[in-house]
Amino acid sequence: MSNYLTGAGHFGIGFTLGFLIMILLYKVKKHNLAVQLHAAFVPFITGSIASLPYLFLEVRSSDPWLNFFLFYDLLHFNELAINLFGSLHLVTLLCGLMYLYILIRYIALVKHCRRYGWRRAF
Amino acid sequence: MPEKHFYFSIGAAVGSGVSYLIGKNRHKLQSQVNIFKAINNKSRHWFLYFPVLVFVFGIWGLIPDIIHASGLLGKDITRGGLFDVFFFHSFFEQLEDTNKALDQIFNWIGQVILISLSLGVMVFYIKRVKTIIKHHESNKLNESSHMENS
Repeated sequence: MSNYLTGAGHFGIGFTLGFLIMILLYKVKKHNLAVQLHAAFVPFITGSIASLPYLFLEVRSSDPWLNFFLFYDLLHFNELAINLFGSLHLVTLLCGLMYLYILIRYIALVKHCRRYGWRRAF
Repeated sequence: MPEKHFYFSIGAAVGSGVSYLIGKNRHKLQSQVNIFKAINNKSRHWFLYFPVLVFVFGIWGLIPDIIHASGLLGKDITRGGLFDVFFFHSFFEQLEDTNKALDQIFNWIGQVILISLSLGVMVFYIKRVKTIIKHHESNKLNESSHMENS
C-alpha cells in the first residue's frame, strides 16, 4: 500500500459521502419524484469532485487550497484514509455494492410506478 | 498490462449491446422463444434486471486475470491465442507490450466506458419511470373523460 491516497481512494471517499447524502435525501424527500429519480447522481458528482485534483497533479503533490475538493489535501496523506480506502479492490467492492443498491432501488421504483403510478409515496 | 477494469468494461459494453438488442426485440422473444417465455411467466418485469447480463459479460472479460491470480495457469499461457475469446485478452496484452503508452490509454478508455455505462443504466431507469408515469396520467385522463361522456 502506498503512503498517499490514490485517485480511486479519493473517489471512494467522495462516492461514499455522496451515497450517504443520497440515502438522506431519499428519506427526507419521500414524496418528491425528482429527488427519487435524480438523487442517485449525487455519489458520482461528489466522487468526481473528490478525485478531480488527482487527474491533473503529480500523485504525491498536494496543496492546502485543494481542500476545496472534498478535503483532498487533508485526506491525501491521512493514515486512516489510506488504511480504509487505500486498497483498489476494497474500493471497487464498496462502490460496486453501493451501485448495486442504487440499481435495486431504481428497479423497485419502476415496479412501484407500474403498479400505482406516482400516487403513493415510494 | 491494462488494468482489470479495462477488460471488465469491454465485456460490460458488449453486454450492454446484447441487452439493447434483447430489449428491442423482447416482445417478439417472449412470445416465440421458450426460455424468454419461461422468464416472462416468472416475472413480467424481467427486462429490468438486464444489468445482471452486463455484469456477467464483464466477468467473462476478467476470467484470464482470475485464472492467473488464482495461480491455476501462468501468465505465458493466459496470453496464448486461445484466451482471445475473453474479449481479445491476449491481443491487448501483446499490443501493450509493444507500446507502453497504450497501457494508460486503455485504462482511460476503460474508465470512460465504465462511467458512461453506469450512468447510462441509471438514465434508462429514469426514462422508464417517466414513460410509465406519463402513461398512467394519460390513462387517468381518458378514464375521467369517459366518465363525463357517460
